[in-house]
Amino acid sequence: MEQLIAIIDGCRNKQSRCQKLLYERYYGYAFKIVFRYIYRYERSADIVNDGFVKLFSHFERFSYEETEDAEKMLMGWIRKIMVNTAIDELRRKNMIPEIGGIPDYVWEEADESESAVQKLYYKELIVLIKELPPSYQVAFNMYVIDGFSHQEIADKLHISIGASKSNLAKARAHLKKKLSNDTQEFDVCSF
Amino acid sequence: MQLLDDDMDELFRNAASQYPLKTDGQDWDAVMRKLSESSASERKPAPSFNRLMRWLWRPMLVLLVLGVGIPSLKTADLLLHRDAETSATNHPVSVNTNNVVVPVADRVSKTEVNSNKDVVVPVADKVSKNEINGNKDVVAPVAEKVSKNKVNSNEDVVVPVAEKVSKTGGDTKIKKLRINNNNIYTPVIAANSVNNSVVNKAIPERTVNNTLSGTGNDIVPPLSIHVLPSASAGKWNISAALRPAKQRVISTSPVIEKMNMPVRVQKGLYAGIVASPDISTVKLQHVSKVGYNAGIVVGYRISRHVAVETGTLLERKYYYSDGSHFSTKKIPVPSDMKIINVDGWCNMIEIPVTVRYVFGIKEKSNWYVNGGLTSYIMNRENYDYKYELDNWVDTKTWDYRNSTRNWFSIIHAGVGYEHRLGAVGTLRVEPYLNIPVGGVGIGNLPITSVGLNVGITRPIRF
Repeated sequence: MEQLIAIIDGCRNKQSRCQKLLYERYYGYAFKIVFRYIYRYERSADIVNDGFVKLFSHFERFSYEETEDAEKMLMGWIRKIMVNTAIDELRRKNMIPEIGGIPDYVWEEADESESAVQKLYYKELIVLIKELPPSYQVAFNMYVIDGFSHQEIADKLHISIGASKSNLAKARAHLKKKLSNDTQEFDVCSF
Repeated sequence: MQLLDDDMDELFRNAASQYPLKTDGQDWDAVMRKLSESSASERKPAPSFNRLMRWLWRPMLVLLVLGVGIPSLKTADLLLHRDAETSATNHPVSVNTNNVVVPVADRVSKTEVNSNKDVVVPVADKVSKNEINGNKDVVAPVAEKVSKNKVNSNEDVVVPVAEKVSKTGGDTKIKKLRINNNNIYTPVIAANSVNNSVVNKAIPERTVNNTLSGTGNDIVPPLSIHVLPSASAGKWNISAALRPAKQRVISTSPVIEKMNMPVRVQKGLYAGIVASPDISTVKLQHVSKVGYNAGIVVGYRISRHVAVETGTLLERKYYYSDGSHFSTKKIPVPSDMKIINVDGWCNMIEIPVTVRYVFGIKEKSNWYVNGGLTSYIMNRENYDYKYELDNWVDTKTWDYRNSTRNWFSIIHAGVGYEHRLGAVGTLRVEPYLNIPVGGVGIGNLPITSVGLNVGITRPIRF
């Protein structure tokens, strides 16, 4: 924790060494957030970097009350910045759905442990989210995973609260349907 | 399988935090590059500021020549220079425990401190109006509360002094001043005189002590206080004087950054649908009916300003012509038959190939001019002829199918406006003019057309 506090202080003072440490420490975390929104892997990497630039440029705005909460607060702040940066990108591209599959090289190679099987399942779930239409995908990501309210979603996407709720409901319905299909396929295969 | 929303949400939340994404492609150099770019753009002064400075430098120079000092105060390094600056005048030092820099008027003989909280302001002792004669005001700050406490010590406090206050040529008044804020600097005396012989010594800029700035490591820009005595009342406008002392806030608002950024233009492929009414005329003769066209366009935005575009439009044109413009070379007619006029229409495919120059690019809209060549592929032509044969005027209708193809023989020119509608795409409205280089159709008619293309385009990504 002390190390993190030192890094945070260094980032406030725009010390490059501390910024690099923070970047390396939270890059993976940020990437996993952004990749849920941005379809292309390479573009996601760019967005993550843009997000970190924003973060370091405005680091003086970051504050925490308790030292124990510093990391939690920092991660929350990083999440917010990354989501905003990703949404800016989506809006710039007019939320146009992208086609083409996700290449295998973007995934970590799985070992044979039990957690690897679990991770493969998680991977499939994330692919399901990414295959949703952008407006549904963003609503689901923001509300369910990143904890934004419908009001915040509506503000960020310039839509009504009703539209946000509707998008979320449709996203859930899509995902449920997909999950049910997958389960049925699994049942058929197992017999 | 019935999944409850909460269960499903929890499942996806777990997946989001644990899914096996490869995240080893860190590129710190790219981040550093962008950071330095953004900080460089922040440091760049606004053009309006430059303009303002261009106009202000002359009066500022005059003021400087006239001897109006613009003292600047800082604290930290001030300590190092204390002796050097104070020894010349042998002024006593006003001290409190708050490390606040205060100025002392010349000929101040005694300094006292009121409390720990209040900023100590120098006391000009034994200064009276009787001592000073003249016309102009020379103002020195004086502490209001005096003689309550003794000076604590000399620690960490340096008092810049206005030197060489003229007492021979000016009427110097000593004004009282009290400042009740730990983070406020008191101004340095700005002296003036009739013959400009009284000049404040500008105090060099120094770094402000951390205790003053209130933040641990923030660098506070040098305080620059320009205090001039009021001509009328002779009072200090301390609030105005202290205003510049506030820490300069570098605007980092994303909104402002966004405003300064050029509008991003999406390059690449796009496609859309367009439709237009069509008004055709032969040599500006009268228009029989309004036709129409509709079709698809495909374009490629090469650069910020240039795009190439083509498409396929199904079109119906109505036109009228005197017989003089209608060529009978491609149709079998009796040699003594004279066509008086034709009233015709045609169905055709139009294939434009154009280059667009886009300008006036804003976030939501832009303008463009459009020029190129168009091909007409006639599917069907229908003419009502009015003709004279053997001194007999008659009418007849002839219909021709797949008669002619006029490749790139029509010049297309247009000017348009585009407005981005978000997810729907980009709306375009483009008045255009099609001028034939040669004749068109079976009668080689020089058909000029005007119309108003209205359409929606969207970028295509693979």
